[in-house]
Amino acid sequence: MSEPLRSSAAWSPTRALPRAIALSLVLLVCAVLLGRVDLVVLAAPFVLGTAWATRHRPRELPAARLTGTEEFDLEGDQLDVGFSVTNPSPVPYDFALLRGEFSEWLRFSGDRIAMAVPVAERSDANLTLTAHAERWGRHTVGPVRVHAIACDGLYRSGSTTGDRVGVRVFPQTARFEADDAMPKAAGLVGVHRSRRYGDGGELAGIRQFAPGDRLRRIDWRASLRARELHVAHTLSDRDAELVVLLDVLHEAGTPGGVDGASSVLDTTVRAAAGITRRYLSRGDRVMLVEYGGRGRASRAGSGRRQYLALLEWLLGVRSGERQHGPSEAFFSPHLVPSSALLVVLTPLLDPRSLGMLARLARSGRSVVAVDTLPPDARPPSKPGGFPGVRPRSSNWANLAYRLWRLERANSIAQLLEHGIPTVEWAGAGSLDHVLRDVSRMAAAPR
Amino acid sequence: MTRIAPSALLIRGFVVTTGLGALALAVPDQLQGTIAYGVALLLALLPGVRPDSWLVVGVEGVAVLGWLVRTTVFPEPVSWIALLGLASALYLHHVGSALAATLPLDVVADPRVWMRPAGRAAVVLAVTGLLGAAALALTGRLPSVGAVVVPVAGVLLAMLLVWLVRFRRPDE
Repeated sequence: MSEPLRSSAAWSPTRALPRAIALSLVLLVCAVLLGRVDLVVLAAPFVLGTAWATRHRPRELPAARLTGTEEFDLEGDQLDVGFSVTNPSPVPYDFALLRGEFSEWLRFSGDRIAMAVPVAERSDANLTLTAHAERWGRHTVGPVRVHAIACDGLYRSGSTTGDRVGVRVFPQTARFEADDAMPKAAGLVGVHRSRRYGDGGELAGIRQFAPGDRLRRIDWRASLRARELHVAHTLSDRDAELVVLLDVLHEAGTPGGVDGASSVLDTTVRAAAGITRRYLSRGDRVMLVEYGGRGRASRAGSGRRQYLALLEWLLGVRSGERQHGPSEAFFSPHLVPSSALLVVLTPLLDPRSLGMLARLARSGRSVVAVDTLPPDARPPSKPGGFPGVRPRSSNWANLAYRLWRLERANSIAQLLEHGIPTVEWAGAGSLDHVLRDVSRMAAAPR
Repeated sequence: MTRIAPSALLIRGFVVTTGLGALALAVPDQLQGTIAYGVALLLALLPGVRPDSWLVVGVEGVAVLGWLVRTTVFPEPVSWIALLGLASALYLHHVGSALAATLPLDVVADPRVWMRPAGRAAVVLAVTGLLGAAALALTGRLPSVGAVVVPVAGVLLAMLLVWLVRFRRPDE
């Protein structure tokens, strides 16, 4: 809950008060000089109304708070924001004016709210507004400024401002399903099939009983036939480690919120959230790494707590790069196991991204690249021409764009030759065929 | 571009309407016509656009001046209905302008905002109606109203006003 900050400005009369006084005095003077009783009658409501309205004037300033704001929400959901205006004085307000500024991705009726509500003496006026959270990220609600009007619009208070409140909007996790194919499931407990014997669900064969075998594994039918104890042994279920690398060197496309177009950053974050949820729900370990941006890397972990921590981590994703360029220190073997599957979410806009992918492939890791560039993204038109007139794309610009697209497609084909399949992100099933191919390649003898 | 809320349009329309009503009541019968009402409409629009300015009292002053001309140059009788109508229009114009000046164009106002000022204005105008009836009745019966009662009442009201403004302090 936010705390109000008080302003030192007091109550002051509006221009209506001197107007009422001036007109009353003029009417009364004219009435006296001309002996006109009708002018006294015309002046009477101004005198009586002003006297009645100003017989009690407030002294305390109003206070505004943000209440009942949910700290986190999901992209696309409704978010309730509560406001409370307090009148500490014994004089009622005609109305209190609230003005608040909010993130552009919290849609009320615009990017700011302005409302007038009456507030009785020594009481609170509470109102709740509903906003639509249009995009993931850390958004702010407020600050809220309030000032009050009293005495029939004859007095105005100074402004007070409340603190702002942060709201976390988690990305809408694009529903992602994939086959149960992980190239190097090397962990101890999981749901992926492996070739190693151990406690698992898949039958590997029947062998003679050896010291240490569990009695419940004895296959009595085979044992009776062979007149020696035999046990059924199984293949172990293993977990796998997944590293999702977010290439955030560049942003492209125009974000349109959850119901509109997606930019590179939107696709990257939502795809990362979907992939993370899928593999964490199956008991695998997931780690997120930024290439570019602030070069952050999350801790590897599994389970629901890791999922919530990674969602929180994704809120801090920003495009750009640091002064010394993107860091590749996170790919040393002691930080990221060589058995981990790397899913690289990249728009393939920067030659450094291509170089990074090639180096990862040469180091023997299993890498899958996911193309996050929107299909209709293109460089912005060159500014110029007449003000207010949108510049047209020239034929030369269209030709240059087609050449750039062809060059990019050529780079993707070269990546495939290096053993890095590249697929466009399309939600469910995006990675199925490439994961199968990567698993096959990982299982092949070297 | 600032979006204009319906409540701001409503109160400014009220200001224009009451201003037009006051000016229309001040136009003498002999001068009434399209031109007069056209001019009155143009004048009434000005406070609707700038309710925080001295255009408000300017329009009210024009209405009072027109009333004086109507009742002296064109010696039309002062009826209680016309007098109360003009007093009501002027006072409601003043109150409406005061509220419109403090309500920005983009503010969405709760409908209950108008209740307290409207209630207070209704009581003030009811008292004014009674005062007007009593004043016109006395004018017809007592010849000394213009010489004695009016100056006394006027000075008393003026003193009340000055005392209220100068000496009253904000309540604790």
